Amino acid sequence: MNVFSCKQVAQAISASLDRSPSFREHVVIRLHLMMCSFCRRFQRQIRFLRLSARQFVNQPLAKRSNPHVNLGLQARQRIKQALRDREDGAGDPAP
Amino acid sequence: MSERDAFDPECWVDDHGDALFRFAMVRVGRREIAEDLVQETFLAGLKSRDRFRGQSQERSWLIAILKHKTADWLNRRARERTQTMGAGGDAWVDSLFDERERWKVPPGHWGDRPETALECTEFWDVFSVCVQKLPARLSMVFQQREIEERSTEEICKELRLSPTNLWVMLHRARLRLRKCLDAHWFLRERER
Repeated sequence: MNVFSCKQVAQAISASLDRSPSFREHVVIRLHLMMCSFCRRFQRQIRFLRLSARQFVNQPLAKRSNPHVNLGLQARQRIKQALRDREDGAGDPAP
Repeated sequence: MSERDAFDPECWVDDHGDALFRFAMVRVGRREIAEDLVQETFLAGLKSRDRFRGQSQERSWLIAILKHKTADWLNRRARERTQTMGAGGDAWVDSLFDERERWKVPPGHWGDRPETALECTEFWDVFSVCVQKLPARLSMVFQQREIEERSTEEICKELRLSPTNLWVMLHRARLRLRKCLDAHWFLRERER
């Protein structure tokens, strides 16, 4: 059984968050983790990323301080204008 | 007649604009694209508005239009991308490892209880910025998978990605995000 490098193990650890590893993969990862504290640390940290991401949604919008959650003022005006133009352009339906 | 007069695009945009924008933003990850998609959605909605008088369903009807528009955009882009990028190498990821594929700069220590960071408002600011700073496509798959908790099957289907492609992209996103949090949060904590 060939031994995975840190680079390969990191990828495999990451993938294990998205699908279940094969038995062989599982064993290779376990063996590598027994010997490699950096990859153990990496594993803990990406699990922490998942934990954070799942709690991120529950943060009040103000706390998320995300400038991307609302339609910007300019875009809002532009869209309203486009809608008005389209309505005027279409005119009233023929009698 | 009166219903037509009662229609006011201003209110329409104010009522649904933000919700539509958020929906698009999470998927496309770029503000200007999301805004364009919202505009297209309203314009398309204007055309068929008369058929959808039921006010309570107006939002979901608009979201349905937006969903189509977003999926089209993503598919177009995915096709362009697979031609130029594929699941090929990622120089940034390669730079993290030495020639024997060991960690060149090993992950730093995040303390015994990194969860305490989740209690800090500032941590969420950093987290938010780090997610936004990811390359657009990686940010999008990360948000869909980890923040919206969608299944990999769903994401693959919507973006027409192979499962392997998606796993590679998620891994690249996690490596970058890990590094960003390390540099902008945990490193500071270590130095404190």
